[in-house]
Amino acid sequence: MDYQYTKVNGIFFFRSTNDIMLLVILAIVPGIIIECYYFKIAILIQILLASFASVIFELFVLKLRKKDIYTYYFDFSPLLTGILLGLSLPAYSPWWMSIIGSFFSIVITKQLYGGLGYNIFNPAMAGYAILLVSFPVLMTNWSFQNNLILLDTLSFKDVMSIIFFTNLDDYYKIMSQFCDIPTFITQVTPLEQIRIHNKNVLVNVASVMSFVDEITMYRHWILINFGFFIGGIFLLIKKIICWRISFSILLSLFSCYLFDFFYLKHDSISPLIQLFLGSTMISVFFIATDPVTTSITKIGRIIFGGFIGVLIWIIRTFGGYPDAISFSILLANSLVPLIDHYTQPRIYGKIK
Amino acid sequence: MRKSNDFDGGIDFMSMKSNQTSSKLNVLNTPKIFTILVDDVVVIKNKIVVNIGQIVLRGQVLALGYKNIAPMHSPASGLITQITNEEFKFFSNKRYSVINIQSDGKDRWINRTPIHNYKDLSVNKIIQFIYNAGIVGLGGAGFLSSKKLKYSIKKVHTLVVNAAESEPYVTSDDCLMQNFATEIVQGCQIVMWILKIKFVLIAIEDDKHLAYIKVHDAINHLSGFEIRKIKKKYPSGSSKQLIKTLFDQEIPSGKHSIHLGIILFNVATIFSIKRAILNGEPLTERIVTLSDKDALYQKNFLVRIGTPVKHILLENNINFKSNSIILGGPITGFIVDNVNFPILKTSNSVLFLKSSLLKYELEQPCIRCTMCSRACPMNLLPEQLYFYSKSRDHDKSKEYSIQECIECGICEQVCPSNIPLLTYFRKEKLKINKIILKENLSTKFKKLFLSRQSRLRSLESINENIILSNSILDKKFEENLILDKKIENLITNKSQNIRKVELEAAINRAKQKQKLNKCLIDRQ
Repeated sequence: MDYQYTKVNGIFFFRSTNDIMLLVILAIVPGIIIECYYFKIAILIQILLASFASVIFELFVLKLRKKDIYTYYFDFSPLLTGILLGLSLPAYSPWWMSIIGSFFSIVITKQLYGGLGYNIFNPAMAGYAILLVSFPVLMTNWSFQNNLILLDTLSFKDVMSIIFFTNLDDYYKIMSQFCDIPTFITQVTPLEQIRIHNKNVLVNVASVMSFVDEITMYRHWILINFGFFIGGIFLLIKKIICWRISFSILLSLFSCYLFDFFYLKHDSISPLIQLFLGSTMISVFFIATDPVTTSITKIGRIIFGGFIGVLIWIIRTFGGYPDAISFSILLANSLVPLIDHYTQPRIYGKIK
Repeated sequence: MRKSNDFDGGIDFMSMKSNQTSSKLNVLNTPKIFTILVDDVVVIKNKIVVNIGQIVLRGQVLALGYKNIAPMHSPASGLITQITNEEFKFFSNKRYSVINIQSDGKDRWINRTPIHNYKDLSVNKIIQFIYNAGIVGLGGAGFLSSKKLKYSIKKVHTLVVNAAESEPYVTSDDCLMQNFATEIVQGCQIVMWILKIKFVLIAIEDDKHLAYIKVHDAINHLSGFEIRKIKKKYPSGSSKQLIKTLFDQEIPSGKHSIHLGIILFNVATIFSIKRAILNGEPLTERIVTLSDKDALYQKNFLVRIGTPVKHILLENNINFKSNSIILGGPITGFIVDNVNFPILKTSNSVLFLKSSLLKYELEQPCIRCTMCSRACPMNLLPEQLYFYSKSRDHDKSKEYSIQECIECGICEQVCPSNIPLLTYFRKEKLKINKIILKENLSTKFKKLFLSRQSRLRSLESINENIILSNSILDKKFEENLILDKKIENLITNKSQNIRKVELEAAINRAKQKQKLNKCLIDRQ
């Protein structure tokens, strides 16, 4: 029986899937701009590389799967995945990293599961996690990001030579060439700094910094996170992402840090600033809220977000990885079917 | 009683109702040819009582009713030119008999017998009159009003008059209330008398001020009447959502509002009940809204049932070739391919819009954005239902209670991926119903088979008894050791009787099978 499908224009305003994707991409832009201001052109090159590779892979696999590319399946979702992946990679990582990452995220995590809407795991985060596990040294190499003075000395040519230098051994050499002190190679994000500080209790920690000192010390990270925060608020106002996920992540993360700050005293940094360090805001508003891989029920979303927040805190304070976003989101994604099953809403007229 | 004024989910569509034009009731010229759809089940039962070439009067019975189908009446006097059998694929894949009537333009009525003293008659008789007038629920479902009344005798305490036209563009009930407020009150009084109800609640959406004022004036001096404004929201016209908003009660799943002691009637139904009893007119006309896309051209017409859509459009100088036409509301209605399709008893609006304005966008993959589950008035999870119905996982879709879907079509309207969710759900529901029917049939047949087996076994045992001589008769025979002729006769009689019994059983089986087959045909 074929019923007709009537959708009259103009009686209800709604966004198409493509519009939603485009708006999300638009909302990332302020964060990218701030990041570009601090880390120069390298971040843009990474994003371009990853998004271009993702789009090409998507087209290729769709062709292999014999789908109608132009009208049916091609939307801005691979572009969004590429942008997120490029943003999460270290800015001066070699070019083949982003291509491997996008291959894994598009081909294996997304298309092999059945394309858009059928993937269980967040594609960008799965690609990132694979890279983090396979190339731990390169992926935790944030030396350039942390030395803002050093970044000013780099020209566009240098940046290109760092990123597109093919040989891995030469890459290390080049790195050491730019960083005068060889030990700086393994220097990392403030989160890693904090972690190292916390582990070596003897060195630092006794001196608890003042709030203003913390802000001035990590001002560029805070500003970048603030850019993503503004984009997230824009998406919340446009009702594209669900406030339940973001707010439950932020709330659980904040309460965990608060507990830590006052009771366990692992951390010497105030909890409010912790929320603006690393890649917290972009993950809270852009990655964890990916509708495909989140729970669809209202209570389920709160549980999902809370779980992510707690996991982030656990991995950051007790685990071996400084930024725990990807693993916690992937772990929470794997729990979504279970959460959905147990949080079904009460149907009208039925007694639960 | 009044606690919540709202139900879960729902969406406020743009209203698209022009209040200035809805108060005016235009009269449409009668067309030359009427086409009337008669359900094919009626035809199988030989309930069509007219022949080709017969002259009929207005209000004359064309086809008698059968079970859930109301009788059909001639909308005008004239000649019956054609009785054919057709299938309208865009409407439903059922077959319909089509009766064509050529009107003579004189509009002669049959002898109308108004019943002003309905309080002297018995309740059953009044209900029978309502049935004979061919009245069904004019809101959309088309359930027999007489049956509803019969079920709810001594069970209900409140009558809710449903005047919440939640669909955009439709103003027919609004127009009806503005023009015939006193008649509606009379209709309510008839229903009140039939069901011995003391309390009537009229529910109106809050954007229909004129209708509210008119009805309010009409019920001002009467006791037991109340009019209440409800929030403008789709689908507040649905019975379940209306009861939730008015009484803050939920109809338990699988039950009807009568279980809560509330009976719901559409305003148009109430009006036609009044016409049937106090004027003696069977249901031959109704108010239909004709509207264009921007609601600039919105008129209400008193249209005879059976008028082809083409005629309405031609009378208003609308080019039906460049426009696509939706019969019914824009959300639950259907696109008419064949412009000769008539106005049905349940169709309350004709919407025409430029063909390019209708969205025929391609179905994109679902990204689980939860727009649909946020808007679902029944709190279902359409995303999950979509996945399960697409993969034909009937058990899972039953577990997520697809049967509770009221087919309001909100999920389809808000979907950013343009997925025709309602189509999927309807298909899935049909399949589940078929499976349930098959299961029922198989259990029935199994029972029949088992009973036959047991009968056969008993027969065998009788035969064995005869051979092995274990029966009382044979024991006696053994005891006596006498081969009497009498006993011989007895044995032969026995075998003859057995044959008779077997024959009867076979005939019964065949009859039952036939009945079940008919049931199957009816259901389909």
